[in-house]
Amino acid sequence: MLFSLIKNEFIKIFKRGKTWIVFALFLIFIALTIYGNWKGEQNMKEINSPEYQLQMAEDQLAYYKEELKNAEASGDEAWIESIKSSIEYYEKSIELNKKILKEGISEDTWKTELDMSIDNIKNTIKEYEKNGTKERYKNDYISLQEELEILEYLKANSIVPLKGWEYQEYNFLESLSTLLGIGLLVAGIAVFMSDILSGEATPPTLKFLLVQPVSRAKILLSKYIVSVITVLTLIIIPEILGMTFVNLTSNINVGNYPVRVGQQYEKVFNPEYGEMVLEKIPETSEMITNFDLAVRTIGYQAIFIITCCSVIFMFSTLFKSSMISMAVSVILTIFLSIGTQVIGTLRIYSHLLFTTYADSYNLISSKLPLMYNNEKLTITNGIICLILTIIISYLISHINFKNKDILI
Amino acid sequence: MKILEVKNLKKTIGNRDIIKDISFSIEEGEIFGFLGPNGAGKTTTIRMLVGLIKPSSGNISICGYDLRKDTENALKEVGAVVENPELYKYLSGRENLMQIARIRKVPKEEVNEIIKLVGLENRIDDKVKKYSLGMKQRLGLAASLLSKPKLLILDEPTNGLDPSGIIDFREIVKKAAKERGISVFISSHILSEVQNLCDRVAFINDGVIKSIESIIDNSMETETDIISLKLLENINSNILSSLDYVKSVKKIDDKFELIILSNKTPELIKYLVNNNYNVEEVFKLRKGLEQRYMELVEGGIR
Repeated sequence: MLFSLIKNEFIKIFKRGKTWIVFALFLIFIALTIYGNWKGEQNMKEINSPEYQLQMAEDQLAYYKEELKNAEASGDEAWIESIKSSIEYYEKSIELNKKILKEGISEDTWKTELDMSIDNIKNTIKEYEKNGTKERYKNDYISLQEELEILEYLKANSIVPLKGWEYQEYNFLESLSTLLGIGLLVAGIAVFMSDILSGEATPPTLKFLLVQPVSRAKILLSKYIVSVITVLTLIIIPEILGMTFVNLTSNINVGNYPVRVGQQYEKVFNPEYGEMVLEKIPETSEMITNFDLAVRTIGYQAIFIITCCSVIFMFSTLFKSSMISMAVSVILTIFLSIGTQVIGTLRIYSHLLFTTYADSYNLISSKLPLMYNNEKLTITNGIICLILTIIISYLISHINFKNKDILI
Repeated sequence: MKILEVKNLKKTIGNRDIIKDISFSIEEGEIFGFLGPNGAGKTTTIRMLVGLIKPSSGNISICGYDLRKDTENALKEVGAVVENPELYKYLSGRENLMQIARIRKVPKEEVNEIIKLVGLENRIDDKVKKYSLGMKQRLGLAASLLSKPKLLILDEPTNGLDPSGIIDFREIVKKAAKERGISVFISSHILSEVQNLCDRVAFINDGVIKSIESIIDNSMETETDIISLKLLENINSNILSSLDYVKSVKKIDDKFELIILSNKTPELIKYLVNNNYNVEEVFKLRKGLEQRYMELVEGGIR
């Protein structure tokens, strides 16, 4: 019986024009995000190209040469010295870029640069230890050690260090997750499924369904299962397809690139700032690959989507009018999504609100606590909050739907 | 065998008693009318019969199954159209029927049979949004007839239908009841509909069943008749009032409107003729069901 109901609901949901409109909008959104990532890389590549650097250095050199005349006229020795050092820097830059243009960059340059970076970090760490300032600048000290671990991993596995702006699938996933996290995911789901039950009240097709020999609990469950599966499929599959597209059209393969996750924080008083700040708790993070991060992000996002569906489903059950359920769902969820980011009081309780966990990438990569200045935004708390929200929302829907009089 | 049995049914919404202790039953193959003005409690009763709302107290049993305790088994025997048949407009007529066929495990052949019965075979694959109201009513009826229910519940089924649509609808219901031996519970505020279709009728007003009576040869026994009388000579209305079978007399222009005990009209005419009054015109203002409805629901003359 439940299987027949599920089949019926699938037919209904995919025959609705709205399903395809919302899906098409999501595909457009994904395409735009891919384009944005590609364009971003093009811009960064242009800025970092030897031609652009050469042009910029020549412009700067011409400017400082003019400025030198003014400085000499003023007789200010310090000013003259400062400008001369700038001129020297840009002349070297011009020379270097001309050389690069003529001879090209050696394929192994990155290895030399990586060695230099490793040495630099090691020296800085030693400085901290020698000066006895590693406790005072605990955050920086831990960050340096983590950075060193990553760089040494890159060296050991001959992985070219990334600059961070490359057009590749994991950057795309991060951009997408961040954009969806500011309320777009919640709003999209709210628009898509806030009328999944209330839509059957106007016009009242629910009567047609409820006079059949089947329990209300089964009707509700079938609708819930179908809407959750549909939303999950229509979000996660295009996301994975988007990542595959970026992977196929990108020049680099960074699936095994190391990233840190699971970092935990504590709130401590910082005398320099005169306020409570988040500080890293040592040895709480672990290093995983980009691929693992993506799997965890998508898996976690799936739990978030189920939660979001459950809450919107509850609104759809509680209200008779699809317009009201949609308005309440969209306004409340967007208010919570944006409100927790901008209202200080709400931020303190942000770990208790499911909407905070929409940006799964930044939660997994431990950036969410810093964004909300809330150390309680951990993965474990997130999972507990989401699962409790799912259970409570579904129970409310079930009790309400099972007992209410259908007066439509 | 009693197909539907309703005992001491009550429903209170807020502080209002919508249904105040009603009881009735329907026998196998019987077409039972539920007649009353708008707001009398017809739709509320029907919603309780199909499990859309829960009674405040009382019992409903369908084919022996208690609707409250054994909802699924009870509803297996019921096909219903509550108010307008609200179907999925974005689905075809066939898919609307298939939605129910899947739940009730009705084979496709039977779905096709029902489509033929309601005469929708040429338009069944069109989307419902392209249907006229009459076609929607037929589709709603087809949906309610799937799985051969023992009880068909129809709430104001001809609302919004044109005269030929009403006649077609009536014929389909009669055919279904006759061919399939289905009991039909039909609520309406249209007297002619009930008179032409039903075997028995319950008069409901203000949440109370005033009476349940049989319809024989499309008519009904009444307690009184209301007649219009015109005489060529003047007559004092007191003379008419003094007759023991005359309940009331009212003069309207040059005519009298009399409420008299039923079947006493020939006696009245005989009396007038014997007393040298020339009767120019005499006729019953309301007949059968209409008169009974007035007596029970509207409290007599209007």
